[in-house]
Amino acid sequence: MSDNTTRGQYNPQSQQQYGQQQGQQQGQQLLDDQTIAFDLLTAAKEAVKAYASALTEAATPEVRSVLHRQFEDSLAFQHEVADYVVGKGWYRPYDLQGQIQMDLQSSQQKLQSLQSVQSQQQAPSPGMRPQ
Amino acid sequence: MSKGVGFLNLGYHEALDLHEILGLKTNCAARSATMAQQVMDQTLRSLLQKNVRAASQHAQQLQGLLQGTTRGGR
Repeated sequence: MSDNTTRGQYNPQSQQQYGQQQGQQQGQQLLDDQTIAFDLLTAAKEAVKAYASALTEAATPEVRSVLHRQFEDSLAFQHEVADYVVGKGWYRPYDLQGQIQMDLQSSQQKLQSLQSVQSQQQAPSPGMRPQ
Repeated sequence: MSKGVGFLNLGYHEALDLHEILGLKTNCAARSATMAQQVMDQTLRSLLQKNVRAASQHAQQLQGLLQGTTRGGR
């Protein structure tokens, strides 16, 4: 291949791979299990609402029956995800004050780590440069 | 007598809603499949995988309705 690769000197490809790996690690840090679980919960709720709305507009019988079955599936799944986040202690339906405190804290932490990831992306440290 | 959206034989509004939910479910399946690869908790992973299966199946049924090939959906 190219001379650069055989000499083991500046290799743009390996640098790019390194950057991708690092980006994935940062992504995993930001997208932890709790964030993914709430993303799933939000999507499940949106689906239930979309079905409810579509069912009120459905005129064709087979459309109604398909939508109704999918609506019930989606609602059951939304309950499953909600039970999961409650069981994990991430969502406290009977403790609004505690919930708001917890969410404020986690929102602040998330925005902080988001900022540090962004500043790292804008100004890579000298150690990351190829020699 | 033809009704609704041309060859689809659907009402305009229901065709629009089906189309919207089709996109929602397709994206949801793709997102859950990606997320299932990186979560740590086993229960969350199986919830995501369950969602991939269900959302894909829902999307296929909606495709059928929009293509006019599904009768009764069963």
